Amino acid sequence: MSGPRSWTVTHYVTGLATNVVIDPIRNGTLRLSGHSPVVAGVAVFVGIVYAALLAAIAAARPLRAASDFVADTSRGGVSVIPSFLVPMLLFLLGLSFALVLAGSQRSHPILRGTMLVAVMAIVGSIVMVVPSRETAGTIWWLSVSCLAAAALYCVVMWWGRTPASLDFLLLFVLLEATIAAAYRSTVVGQASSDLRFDIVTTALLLTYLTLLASPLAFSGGLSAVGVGVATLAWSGDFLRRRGGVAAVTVLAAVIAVWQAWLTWGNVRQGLSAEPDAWLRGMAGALLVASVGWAAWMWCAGRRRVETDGDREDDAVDIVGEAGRFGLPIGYGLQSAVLVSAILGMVSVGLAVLAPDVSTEAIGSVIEALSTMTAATAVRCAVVAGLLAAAVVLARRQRWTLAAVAAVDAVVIGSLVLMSGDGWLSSWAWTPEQFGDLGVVLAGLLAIRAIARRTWNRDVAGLVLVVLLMSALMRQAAILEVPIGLLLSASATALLIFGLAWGFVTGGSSVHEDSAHAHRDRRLLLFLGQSLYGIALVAWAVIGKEVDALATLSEVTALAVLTVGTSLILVTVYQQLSPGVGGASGRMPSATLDERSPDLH
Amino acid sequence: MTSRRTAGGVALGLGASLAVAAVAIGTFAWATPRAEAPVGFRAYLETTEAPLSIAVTPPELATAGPITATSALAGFLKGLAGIPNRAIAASVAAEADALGGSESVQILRSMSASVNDDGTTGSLFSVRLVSDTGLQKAAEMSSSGLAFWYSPPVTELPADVTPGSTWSGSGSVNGIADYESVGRIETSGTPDCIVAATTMQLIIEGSDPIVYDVRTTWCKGQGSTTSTDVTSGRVVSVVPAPGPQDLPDAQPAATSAYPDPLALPFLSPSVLLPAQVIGDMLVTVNSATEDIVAVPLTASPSEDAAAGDEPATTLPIGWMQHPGGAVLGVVGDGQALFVTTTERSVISFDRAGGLRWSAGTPDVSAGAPVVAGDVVVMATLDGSVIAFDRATGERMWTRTMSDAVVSDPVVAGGYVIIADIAGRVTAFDTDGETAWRAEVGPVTRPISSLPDGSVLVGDDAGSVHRLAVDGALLWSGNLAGSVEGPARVTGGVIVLPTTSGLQGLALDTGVDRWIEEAWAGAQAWSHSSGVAVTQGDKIAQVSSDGLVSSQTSLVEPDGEPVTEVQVVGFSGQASLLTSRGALLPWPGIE
Repeated sequence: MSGPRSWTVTHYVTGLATNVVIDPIRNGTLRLSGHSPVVAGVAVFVGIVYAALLAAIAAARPLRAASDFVADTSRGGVSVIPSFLVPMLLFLLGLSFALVLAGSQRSHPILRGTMLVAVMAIVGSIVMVVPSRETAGTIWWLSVSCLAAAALYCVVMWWGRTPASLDFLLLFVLLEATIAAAYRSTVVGQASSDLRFDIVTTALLLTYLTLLASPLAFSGGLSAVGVGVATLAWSGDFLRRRGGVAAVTVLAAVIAVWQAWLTWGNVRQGLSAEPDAWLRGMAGALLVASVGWAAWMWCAGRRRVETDGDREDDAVDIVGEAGRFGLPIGYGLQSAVLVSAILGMVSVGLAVLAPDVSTEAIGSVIEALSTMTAATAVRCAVVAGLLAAAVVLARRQRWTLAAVAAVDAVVIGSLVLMSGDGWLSSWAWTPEQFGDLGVVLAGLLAIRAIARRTWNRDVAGLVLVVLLMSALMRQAAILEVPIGLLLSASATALLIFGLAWGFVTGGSSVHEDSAHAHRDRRLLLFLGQSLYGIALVAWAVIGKEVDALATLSEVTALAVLTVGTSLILVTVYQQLSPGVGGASGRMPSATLDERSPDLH
Repeated sequence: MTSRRTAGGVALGLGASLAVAAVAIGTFAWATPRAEAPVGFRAYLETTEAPLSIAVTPPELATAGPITATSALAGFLKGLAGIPNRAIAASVAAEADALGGSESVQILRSMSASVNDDGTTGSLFSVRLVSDTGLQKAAEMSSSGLAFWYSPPVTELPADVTPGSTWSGSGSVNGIADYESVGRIETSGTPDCIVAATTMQLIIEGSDPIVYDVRTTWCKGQGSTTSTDVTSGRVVSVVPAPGPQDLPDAQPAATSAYPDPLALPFLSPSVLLPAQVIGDMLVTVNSATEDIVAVPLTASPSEDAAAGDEPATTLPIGWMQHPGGAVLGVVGDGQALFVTTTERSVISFDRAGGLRWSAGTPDVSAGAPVVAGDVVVMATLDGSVIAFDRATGERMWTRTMSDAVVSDPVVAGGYVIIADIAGRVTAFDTDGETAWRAEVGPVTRPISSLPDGSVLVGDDAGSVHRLAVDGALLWSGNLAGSVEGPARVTGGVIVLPTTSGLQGLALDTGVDRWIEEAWAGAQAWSHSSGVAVTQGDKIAQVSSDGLVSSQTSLVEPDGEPVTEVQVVGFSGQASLLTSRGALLPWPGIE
């Protein structure tokens, strides 16, 4: 082993910034080269809009102070929002829907059909729910015509071969015309009423629209945890390689004292309050950690990489690899919710368009999808899918990805098994308990090294990283505090950061063709999804729609609990098994993405 | 060549996207409703810039776009009871439709103070129609119970208000008499003011005509500033005074509550905005029209002469104020009222409805403000906490929470307690200093102050926490659902309305004592005899062991079932105020 390399604080800061921030952005950000010029221009436009929305979110307070408000008092309470918010959201919906529709035109038929149905259901609801079609007259029929033309275009182009740019621009024109005309119809119709239909309708749709953004919120949660993991793990590895044994030992000791204090507090409280439940929870955490370790070793252990000892990149690579599962898992876990939302909008549209048609069947389906049974079934399906993905990836010798998928399956599977009222529920773990186990593990590593007189910089660094991961387990949403202070929105800080980080780092895979879709289409789809998510968050933050924010934040929190926990475990496993795994910057193959609904 | 082609393509894509976006944004901007500027005679009506007064024309009606008479009167109709009021509403609606209906008629509601030449006072409630033909009085009601409605409405201002303009009209009054009127516009000695002089004869068969000579001064942007009515020799001055109305000195009620049901005309009190007692006035928010309405509790119920199957007794309106926008919260300190509105304002009224002060805020309030010592504290949706001097409205201090606030602040232990959606609970003293902070789960539900100064906070995770006066966590518990309303305490048990039922928690330990699932969504009220809960038309008394009695089928005075009711206390006892504007005596549910 080589001796410590000299380093300064500047080395650390620049290295951290480069590896944790700059490189992921550089590798993951959208590139215009390789795409058709017109699509590249569209990407620039969407990027500008995205940046403007982020700025609006950051400036929500002064924006509200400077805005006129409109109020709706028709539903018992009072809804008050800035007057520009409804038209802003409608415009952004039209833009994002045009992007996803154009992007899905040449994709897998299931994705294509789903996107078409979803978009038509949402936009159709906007068109149908106007206060008075008779009053609106020609304008409303214009709206209907444009929507029909958009649908017809998508259907006809199922077999056509038009460029992605043309598809987008045509759909952009048609959908914006549809929505703008519908909005005008609403405004004209509500002039003869004291109800604000535009607010009421949008609030109704927002209930469903928010649910459709939940996979993005899930992915955002994982992204946010990933930054925390990458920061701490890279820092630990940096000191492990470059720090003196004394310095690393002192730092590890300080953190050990802090974490041991917390652990001691948890043990004392656990044993005094409900000792049986606490012990079973700890056992559950240990079991999950052990099974996860076994899965990691089985998968990643089959690929032994001769590294040059530069492990600093491995921590960041692991985060990048794990992040690829965020959106697919998000879609999987939220699938019942997504189907319910789409059916809900179809029901709303039918109720207006054909009031004589019974929507009872749809209601029954929605109710069935809302049950705990359906949620459990979905989660089991996700676990099964992850295990299958692990097997397939292992066969293709994508060991690191296979290991990540397996550990994800173990963590999510354990939550499924330990939820509900069965006897296993008493074994339910908490992230705090994983943190406590991490402290114990660090202690055991230290004791073993001291007993064997093998305490050195490498061991000290390993203990340090394990302790840092333990701390992160207790507060995985570590970025919540600084981001929350910046935005004065701590409840949604993680959500906003996760979405933005996912946008600037998640575009790497869209620069290659897949079996089903040209890169231009994948780019449009990525842009549409990303814009949709941030548009809804902008609406919710600026309009103080706390229910929508709470819904999305809960999904983000779920991501932190599931795949965030899994990511931290994987990072610890990777640290404990030197020369095992490590993606070393290798990009995933296009074939993996075929299974990902987002092609991303 | 290739790079030029690429750059050209990029420019084309960007340009095309920008072009479509610009057209779409322009379309949305064109479609967005905008306020219309007043034109012609409308300039003499009140505008948003005019100071609030007792005779208030709802600003948004004066400057907003057209509204249908029927829909604008929908709220008006809601709170009405009794033949005369329904007949008035129907008549006004019919006249508005005849004038052009949905696209061209506006409704003005106003209240004035009338002072007779013998010094007696009263209040006058008018309903006017604004259309392209001018300003016409459709109906008026006095606090004494007299009401007139005109068909067609009597012209007060013609479309052309050039001095020298004249007009005439005739029609029926109350369907039983006739009227004839003539009018002319005269100059006023005051710039930007005109005088409308009208003479109306009320012709009742078998009686001599009653002649009303009315001279009304209208000033630009202020509405009618004075109106003098000489009726058969008696001079009555109608003054839309901006200051306190001359109400009699407050007298305590001889008995606790009215023994019989009483109707409050024009009223549909909002249960979401609990009624306040300010001196001898019961003040509530008329949910249909967003007016603040005060009913003097010491007034004797008057007999409704036209009662058939209608309520036998009514309470007159003392005063009505329209603060602008929709009311978000209201609180009283016994002598004054503090109101927050969607206009980003905090407004204080006195017992007589006079405007004490108003102040602007950067964002809309989360709900009702609270009174603590000499300050009134409110929290806004953007997380600002602002304190105003109770007497003058001067802004005393501003603090910022970590995130948005959607729960009403409460006062507990001498501190103002506020919880934001990030779950941070902060206690401020009256000087704005932070006394303590605590962290729980996200809070979007009501928080409650308990009698011992502790605070009960329910978070969105389904947990409830009791925090001591110093912020220390006393206990935490799990709820079956989410907190639905403020908690009350009786016999050492916290009565907490939740979405899953009415839950009883031990005050000391938070342990579940009982749950009444049938009362999900109920509201709990403290009154002189303990704690009661209401749900729809049901009311029940609650003890530490749960419900002890219940009474179902509360009915309005006209026999219709009650839909919503709140408990109001005055003169030491409790009454029930329904959402249809009836004051019911306390039922026998001890």
